[in-house]
Amino acid sequence: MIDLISIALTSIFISNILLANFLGMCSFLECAKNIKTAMGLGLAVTFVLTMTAPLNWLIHNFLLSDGALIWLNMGDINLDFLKFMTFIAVIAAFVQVVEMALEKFSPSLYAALGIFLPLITVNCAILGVSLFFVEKEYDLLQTFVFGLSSGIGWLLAILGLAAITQKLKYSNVPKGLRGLGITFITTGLMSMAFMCFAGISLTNK
Amino acid sequence: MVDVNKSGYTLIFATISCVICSVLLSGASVSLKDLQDKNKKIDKQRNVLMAANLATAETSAEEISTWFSKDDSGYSDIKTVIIDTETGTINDSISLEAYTKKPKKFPESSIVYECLRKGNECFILPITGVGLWGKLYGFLALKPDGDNVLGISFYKHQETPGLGAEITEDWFKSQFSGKKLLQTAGDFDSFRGVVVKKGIKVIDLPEKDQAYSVDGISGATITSVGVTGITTKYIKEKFIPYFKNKNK
Amino acid sequence: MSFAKSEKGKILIQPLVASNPIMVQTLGICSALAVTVQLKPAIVMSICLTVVTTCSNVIMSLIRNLIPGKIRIITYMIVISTLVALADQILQAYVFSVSKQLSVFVGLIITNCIVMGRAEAFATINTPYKSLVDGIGNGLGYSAVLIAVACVRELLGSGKLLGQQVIPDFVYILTGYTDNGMMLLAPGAFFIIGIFIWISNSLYKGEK
Repeated sequence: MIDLISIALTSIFISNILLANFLGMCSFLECAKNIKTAMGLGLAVTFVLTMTAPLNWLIHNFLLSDGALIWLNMGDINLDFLKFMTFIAVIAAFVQVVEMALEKFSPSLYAALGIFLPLITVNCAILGVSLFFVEKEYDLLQTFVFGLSSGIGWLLAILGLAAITQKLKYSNVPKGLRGLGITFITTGLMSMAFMCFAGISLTNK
Repeated sequence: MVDVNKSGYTLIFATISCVICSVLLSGASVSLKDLQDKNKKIDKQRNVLMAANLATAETSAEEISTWFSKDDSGYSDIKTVIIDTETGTINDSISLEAYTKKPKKFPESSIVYECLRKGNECFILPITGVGLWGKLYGFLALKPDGDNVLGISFYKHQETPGLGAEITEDWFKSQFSGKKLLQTAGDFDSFRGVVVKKGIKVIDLPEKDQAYSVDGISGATITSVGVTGITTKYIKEKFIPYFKNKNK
Repeated sequence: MSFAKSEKGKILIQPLVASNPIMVQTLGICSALAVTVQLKPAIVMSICLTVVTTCSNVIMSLIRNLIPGKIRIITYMIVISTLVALADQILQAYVFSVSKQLSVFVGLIITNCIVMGRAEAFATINTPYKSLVDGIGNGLGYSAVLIAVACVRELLGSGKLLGQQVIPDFVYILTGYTDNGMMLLAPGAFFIIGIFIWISNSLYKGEK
């Protein structure tokens, strides 16, 4: 249990998927202008992450990794090289399903998110989380918690940036820095702030 | 011209693209597999040797494989055995292949590498610990008396460059050569281990403690604590029974 | 400079500064921040991305009239992920140590907006030769920023370049200069790119 909490805290604060691991920057920079859009996008990303991470884990563990096909008596086969294609295919398919569901059940949210919904597919964070759990050798429950908390971490970061950007509208930013430049510097400062969480650990050493 | 929007065409296009991509990828993977496996094996063997200062990052792959290759009589400079960590005895029932594939299946076992080359006799032990951002993986090289440390190396970690990642730098690793684990030589119940000291330099410690301490990394307290955990608790639990049996 | 003014020349040179993929188009940021801690992985990553973008552009352009409308995006993904998986296999076979350093970020080239972005915006509506040039141009623009950032980060953060100590020892001892550890961490990357954008915007504000 404690290792799950540890994973959650680490992914949200200490090793934030965006501020420390740099994943999910592209849509982050585009949408962080408006708190409502940021919230909507953040929740959508969190949902996709929480669902696709365990899904990809199942596929990786039972189909792709070295010796995974042992339940079909083909334990010698290693399909690890297919993981890029399979993961991204699962993510793309899932996002498509979410898009269709949103269009049917909540047209207003669908309209608000607009172009950003298909962009979730190419959000580095989603593929990144799937690739990370392979590297860190998490089990199913840990992967689920990892996906969920990475999403929450991303949501926190994008909300923070959106809020700061809105306040910055009233500041006198130098001409060359306006727009993208100041966004980066702000993100850098946020990243420094999150670094102060480093060193928190719940496990007994 | 073909109507690119017809469903039938879409299906054919999708199928053909999948087939082409799969053939390309599988072909590349199969033909490069031997090279990749060899790279991984040499990389692991290099890390084992680096702990005992028998190889460096620049040592050639051929030289590294000579240490591990078996000659006609079955002798190899580096002998790999699997031990039972609780009883401290060699476990013949687990094959090396099975263990390497899924080490998590055998929590009470560990690999031990024994260097048999004259003049370099030592034991190289796989070690794991907990760092700041993730697990630390490395090797510790001990003299056959189970007391004198020859060296340490870390091959996998997620620590911060310039801070915790300094554990892979020469200045940190070289400190471990010559340190001791036992308070009284030959008495394994007097195990002390090596502590990574923060806040005080080793040269300022009383002389009797200097052989059991190394300087820590400034700004990397958690990582230093993690390394101490390895060189005290982990070594004691996993390997001291084996050395105790060996040196009876 | 008639090449530069010619159409092909413009396609090649524009992405270097005027419409630089990272600084102007805001694409491909993730990897720019992550692999620039040292110069060597940055160079390998740049080469990988340039090769993947160029190949993907050429392939997309060649099949641009054959792609069914309904599965356009999926086709992009299939081509790009196959290329990236191939690149990853080759890296693991021939430069294993660097592939370990790059770890997941080679896989993340798939989601690197530059590759997909150029495929969608350029390759599907232009001839293969132009797409080839465009791929190389964007790859070079990306590489330029990556290498510049990596140089600054490695130099200021550890006094080294390509693993070799560049700042001599006497500078540390005589002036009390110490390496700026922040450069090796996340915030340092953000600040450096922010400053680069500031410089680039101030110098080239006319040409967008």
